[in-house]
Amino acid sequence: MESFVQNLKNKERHLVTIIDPHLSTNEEYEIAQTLREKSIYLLIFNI
Amino acid sequence: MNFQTKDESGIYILNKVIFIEFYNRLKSVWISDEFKDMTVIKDSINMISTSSFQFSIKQNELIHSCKVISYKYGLIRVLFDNQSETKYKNKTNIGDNLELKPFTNFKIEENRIIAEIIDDEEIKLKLDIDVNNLCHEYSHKKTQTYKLEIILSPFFMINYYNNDILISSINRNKKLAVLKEKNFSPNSIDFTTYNASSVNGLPERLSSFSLKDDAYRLYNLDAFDQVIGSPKSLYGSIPMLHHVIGSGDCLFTIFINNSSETWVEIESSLDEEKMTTWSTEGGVLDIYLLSDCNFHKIFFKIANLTGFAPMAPIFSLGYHHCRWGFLSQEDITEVDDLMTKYKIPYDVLWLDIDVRGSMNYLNLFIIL
Repeated sequence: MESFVQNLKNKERHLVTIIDPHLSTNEEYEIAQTLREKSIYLLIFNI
Repeated sequence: MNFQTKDESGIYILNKVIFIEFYNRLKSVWISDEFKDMTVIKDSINMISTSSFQFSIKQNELIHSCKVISYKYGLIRVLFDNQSETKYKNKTNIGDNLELKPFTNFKIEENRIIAEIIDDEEIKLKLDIDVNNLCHEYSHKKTQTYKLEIILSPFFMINYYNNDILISSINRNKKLAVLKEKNFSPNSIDFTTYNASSVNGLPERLSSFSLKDDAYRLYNLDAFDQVIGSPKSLYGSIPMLHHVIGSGDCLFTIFINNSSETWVEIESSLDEEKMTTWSTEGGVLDIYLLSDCNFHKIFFKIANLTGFAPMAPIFSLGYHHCRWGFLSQEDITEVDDLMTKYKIPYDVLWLDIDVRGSMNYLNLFIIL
């Protein structure tokens, strides 16, 4: 992928990636794992 | 309210059912006689500073607090502060960063409050673009007056512009409802705009630019299957409504700073009156009123309130190639190579959400 981006860059083209406001909670997904371990997830909804 | 009946997706119908619950609660307030009697408690009228005042409205047994604030460039904010004391106390608001402007005239009479602002600020805009040293300057200066008249009993507000041109009235049809319930606080308010030839704004939709007599929903939902001519909102929903007064010599804009689900019902009458009813699912009724004779100036005022749009980068003016459904990295590379091979110019390649796979959004460059 990095070489692909470099290739685009050489042609003076840009790459945009769209994201949605969701995040996987799959246990195999390392970011979800870290968030769970460090208690970063919002657990109680109370404004 | 006219609920849309054209081909609708399941999630849309589900959301509509939720909405009907809060809409019915509001309606019970509008049609009930006991809630129609709205009066301002005269002793509660309180000048907080030179640019803001506060009063309480008694509606049956409910008491709502209402705050009126005046800002630079003749911007008037009306805030029905039903729960700011507790829930929203420490939240910052877009109005907090604006420069205040003292009322030129403020008086309390037998059955009304009159607040007047005379504005003679000069608007200066300068647009600098590096290419060819192009520079565009715009300045405009004109003394304008804005007047808000609050009738105490029954409670409603009238909005005037330059030399007492009647623009709109707020709560003329007694649809003000500020409900306080646990986890659920729907609000509603109505506006009547006089001599309005067209109404524009609100969400992105596959329908005419000018808004028709219908109920428009402000709720961002990526529901597939759009029907051409349907007032159903697409992606963007901005709670801002522009009224063209007369034959375009004046523009009146309402902005309600509330991000919760909102329905705006538009009704026209024969004598060019436009009635709009705003019903929100929650939050506070935070209303901004803008009026001006000059189209450049009103958009300057809106930008001053909600922020100026950044200048688009030059590369973004070219062709953007966007696709949903890239299956592999080879697929993406092939598109780029073939575009180069056949000399099709394009500047930006977009990858849609499906390339991330399983919503692993914080990981870059993971492709199924």
